[in-house]
Amino acid sequence: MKVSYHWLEQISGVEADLDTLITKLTNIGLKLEDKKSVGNDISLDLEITVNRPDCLSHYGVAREIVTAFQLPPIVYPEIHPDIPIHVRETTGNYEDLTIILENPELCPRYCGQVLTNVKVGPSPDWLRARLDACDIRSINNVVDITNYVMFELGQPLHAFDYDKLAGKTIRVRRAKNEKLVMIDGKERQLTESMLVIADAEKPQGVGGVMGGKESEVSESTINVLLESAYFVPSTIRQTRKSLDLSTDASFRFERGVDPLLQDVAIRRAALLLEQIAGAKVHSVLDVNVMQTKQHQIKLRPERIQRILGEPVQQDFSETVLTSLGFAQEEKNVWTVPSFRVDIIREIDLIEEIARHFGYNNFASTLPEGGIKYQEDYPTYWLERAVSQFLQGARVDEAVTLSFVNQSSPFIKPEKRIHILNPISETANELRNSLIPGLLESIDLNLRHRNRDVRLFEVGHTFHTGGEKVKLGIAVIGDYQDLKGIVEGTFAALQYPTPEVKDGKILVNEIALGEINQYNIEGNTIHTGELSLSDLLQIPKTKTKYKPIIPYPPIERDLTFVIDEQIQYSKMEDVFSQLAISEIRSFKLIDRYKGKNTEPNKVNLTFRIIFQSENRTLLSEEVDALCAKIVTEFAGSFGAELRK
Amino acid sequence: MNIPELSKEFQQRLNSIQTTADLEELRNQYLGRKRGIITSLLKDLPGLPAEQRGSAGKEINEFKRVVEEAIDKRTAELASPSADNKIDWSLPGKEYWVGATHPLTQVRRMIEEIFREMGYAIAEGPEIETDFNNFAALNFPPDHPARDMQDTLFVESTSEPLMLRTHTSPVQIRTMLSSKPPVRILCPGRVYRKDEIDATHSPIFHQMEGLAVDDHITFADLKGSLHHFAKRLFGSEVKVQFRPSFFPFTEPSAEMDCSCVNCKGNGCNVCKQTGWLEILGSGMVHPNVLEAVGYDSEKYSGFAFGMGIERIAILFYDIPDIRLFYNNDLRFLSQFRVIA
Repeated sequence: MKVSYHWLEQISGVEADLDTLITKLTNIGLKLEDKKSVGNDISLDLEITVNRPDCLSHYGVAREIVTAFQLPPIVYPEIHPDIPIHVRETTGNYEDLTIILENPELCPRYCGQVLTNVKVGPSPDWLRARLDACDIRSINNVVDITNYVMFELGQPLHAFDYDKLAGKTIRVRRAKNEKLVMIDGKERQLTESMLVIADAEKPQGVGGVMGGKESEVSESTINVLLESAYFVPSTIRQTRKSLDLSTDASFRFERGVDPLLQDVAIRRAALLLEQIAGAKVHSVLDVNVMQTKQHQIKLRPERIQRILGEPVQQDFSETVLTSLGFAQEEKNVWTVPSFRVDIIREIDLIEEIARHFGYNNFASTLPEGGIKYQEDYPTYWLERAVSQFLQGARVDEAVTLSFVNQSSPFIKPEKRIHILNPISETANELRNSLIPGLLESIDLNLRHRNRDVRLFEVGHTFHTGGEKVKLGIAVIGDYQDLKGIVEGTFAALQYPTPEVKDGKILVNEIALGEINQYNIEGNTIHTGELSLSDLLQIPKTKTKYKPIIPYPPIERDLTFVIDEQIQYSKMEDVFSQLAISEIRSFKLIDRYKGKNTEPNKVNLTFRIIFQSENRTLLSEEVDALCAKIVTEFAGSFGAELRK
Repeated sequence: MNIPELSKEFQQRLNSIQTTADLEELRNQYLGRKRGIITSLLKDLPGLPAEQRGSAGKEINEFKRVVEEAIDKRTAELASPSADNKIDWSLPGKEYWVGATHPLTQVRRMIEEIFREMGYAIAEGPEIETDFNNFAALNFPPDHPARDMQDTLFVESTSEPLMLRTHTSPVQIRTMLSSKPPVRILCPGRVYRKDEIDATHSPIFHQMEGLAVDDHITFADLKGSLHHFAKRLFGSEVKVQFRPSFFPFTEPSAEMDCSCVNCKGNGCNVCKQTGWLEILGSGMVHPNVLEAVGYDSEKYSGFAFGMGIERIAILFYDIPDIRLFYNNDLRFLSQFRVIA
């Protein structure tokens, strides 16, 4: 909210220089966002938190200033001294004015006041200067006075051209299915959840938000009806949201204005209209069913210390609360002023004391007490281990958004969780897989001519049964690259090596994820996705030391010319059927198909390591074992040893 | 005993040696503790006539010193590359690197480690939440403008309304509902707001929140813990200031500013000339929140705090556009191939 520095000075009587004032305001919770010179004044843009509607006025801010600087209490502005007020419930009339509250649960108080023979014209310079500092455009003296009083006291007012109101009647009611052209010139469709200020025939304004164009005060206006009302905050909030229209009035009403201020504010405006616009002032009709009760809170001095960690002098607490408008009824029992809608419990009073004591004046300590046994969330260490392994494997960590990009070519037509109010229609679902996002990232990198891309992400995916923590991996590379990364991950996490069947990653027949192949612009991409949440149910393998074999290993490479249709797993089976205890390991180290290989054949090179646990193997023994393998490969697959 | 003869023979043998194994053999032959030539000479000394002993001893020891030095020198020569196999020291190394740790993860881990030292466990929860966990239990009244600070995305549901969490505070509620005090947790995670994406906003971003509840925790403890955190994150000289603020779930509420890491508080573009950077929001847990999870608000008190991980990463690494975090462009990611 933008406020005038001079206006604040005038109300509070503060004599501190501007920088001191700004520091003080920041320290009590009214942070300066920006400041700039406007004419002879300085406009201060203060950040007022949503709980402090009482500070949405110069008097409210001044009240904080006099408390912070320990100055005498603020003196309220002069109001019109001798206007009769006629209080009525729900429906009232006085002279020719009628006010009807059809929905007192949404608008429990409406003060109306007729002013006749108003001379509409430009505002005097002092008034325009004040509004300039508040960044409010001057319209004419009548409208300017309503804005001035709102910025002065915090109560929004509205001025109608009284002669445009059919039946001289104000009917505060829910909107029907009707339309209204508002002061900003736009026509809006109204709905039943909104409150309108209607005359005998039709709406003339949306209550608490904005008036209608038709009854707006103009150069030709002679008689004015002033409105000063209280609207229930939630109804204004709903209306403001459904109209998508926020005004200075709605901003204050939805946060909560002082429910006792309406008659004061209208009499303040009446005085100014009399002085500035020569208006003849009539009675105030105050239709009022508001239940306001004084609310009292007990404040225990020991509780202040218990929460803040430091004792605060009783004198200090009492001075602060009194200066802020609280009244001590009996020892340590405080009555909350009507404008402090945020003060509900004892803790709220403690905050008031802490704010004015100065947060930076409290001690800094560390909590006492030992460490309690607590566990990190289930997949926490799994996630850390996965990242460590994959980073070591030179896979880069990615972060993608959780919305599904409906225009992406990588998404499958599957059931996904819908967002009811998406930011855009292309992002109206939540991801059930990390892979499409990773593929889009690969696509982006390919467009920047980067062909060496390996990415992984750990994140939540969304399913009808709940959420999962998943690991997604996508690499530009062949199946064996990706499978090696997946197997390495399992080994590093101390899980048994998984099987891959028809793209499914399985351990003990439990499906934990899948591997897929994609093609982007001629580049083969392999992806793997794994549910870390599901992995938790698989028992880990225990790392136990095995004695080191002291006898030397012997290494042999055997290259077979073999039918390329034969699955690798069949060859693995041959090795296990042979059950040669001296085979320590065998590995496919090369798969070659070239000009010189026979059609439908492939050259496979195995590196086999032989080692006995209890003696040194002789070269001839190993030759005999190799011969057995060759014979078996010849028998099972018709494979020939390539010399 | 002819030392000059022996010396000459030693030099000849030494010159012909090309391997460290042969050199070791030579050392043994001359200096071996049992049958070494020089060792034997020294052993025989007592058998010499008394008048020769002094000069012979001197001569043998001098020879021993020469042999030792020569062998050591040759050892060093053999260990260094030979002169005719000169290395081009300017050749490039083979490339080895570690996969990138995303900057958001780097910041997350840094913060986690600081609070783990202080006894906090890491907690998390689902990103789709109920109104109770995301708002009501956190003292956001229905239809209160405080809810507008966090414009919400809702998801389809067959029962109660469900939303994408707007902060990680629901994890605090879940933790307190499922365990008794004392509680010390840190809640990292992804949060959602109905915001268009641009250079400084994203509908999805990451938060780190913390909560400590016990039977003695005070506002002074909040200040001390968070100042300690700031020092461990930004360096021990960092200054902090606390300003009153508002969050529905804390009372009193405080913003913590740190002295600008860029200009050390003198004023620069990063801190908009104020010398201070807004780092986190915090406060004493509101008694309404403690009561909503069934804690006795008279007996227990606590503090909570929260910060945006993107914001800290932007400060740390000078990142100009929040969208860079989510594109996974290798021209960006490859700059983070470091051990965090």
